[in-house]
Amino acid sequence: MLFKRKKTLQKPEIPTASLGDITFLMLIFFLVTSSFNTEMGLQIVLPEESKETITVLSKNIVHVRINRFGDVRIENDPVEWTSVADKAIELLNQPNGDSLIFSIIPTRSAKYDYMIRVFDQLKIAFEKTQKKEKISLSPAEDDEM
Amino acid sequence: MKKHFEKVEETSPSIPTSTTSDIVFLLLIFFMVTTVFRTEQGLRIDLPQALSSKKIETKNLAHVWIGYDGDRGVVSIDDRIVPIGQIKNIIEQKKRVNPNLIVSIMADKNTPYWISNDVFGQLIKANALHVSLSAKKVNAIK
Repeated sequence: MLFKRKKTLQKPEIPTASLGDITFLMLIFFLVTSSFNTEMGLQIVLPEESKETITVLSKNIVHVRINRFGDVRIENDPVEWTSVADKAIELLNQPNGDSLIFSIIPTRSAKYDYMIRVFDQLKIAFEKTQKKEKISLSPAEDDEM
Repeated sequence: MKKHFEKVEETSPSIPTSTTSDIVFLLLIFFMVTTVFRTEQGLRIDLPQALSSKKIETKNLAHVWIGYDGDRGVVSIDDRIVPIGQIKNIIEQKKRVNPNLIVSIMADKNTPYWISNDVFGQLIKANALHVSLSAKKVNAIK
């Protein structure tokens, strides 16, 4: 008898007061964690297709060649691709460093990745020496046999 | 007088909180509706990595996807596979609409260089000289 009366007294209820807080927290969580597609890349300005040719002293051009195996040569000196930046910094710190132009010349079947690696290294070199970036992408050379 | 003041104190002030979830829900729906996701699918590529990769503004961007199929280069613009010789015309058209166009090259890292070389040639002909070579930003390259 006593048992029965107690049961009917209490009304079951789910507390809804904190529901707003929960959804608000979820909203903030998704706002913070959703990352919008940001694009990262290396910027370069291609040379203009002009009729007149610009003459550059050939001693101011540094040829950086990349073959299909990913071997890098700076002015015919073989260089490990990871030390291209150091080599470039060394060249940029020479007396004529300000007028140097780096020309990247990959062979036709060299991987795109090799070119990006070298390009990246040269960008780092210019960034570190705080000089105006002068990197050009030359047309691909034929593969040597 | 004293009694009168006591009467006022009797009502306990409270902010109604039952509608906050509705407000938050509306906000959620608002953000869901207004966010625009990138619609271009492009090609399935593996981007190269770079240490000096910088953020680029997406406003004036046109994407050129470069992949390969065996010995053949595959170039996709606006989700259409285009022959390399056609790139000049397409980019020229885009450049007419937006003179500040920046071309974003999304090339697979394993593509042979000659494909991108030919694409660059087409871009030079179209006078679209501002180019961004897409690369994943990393802190160390393996």
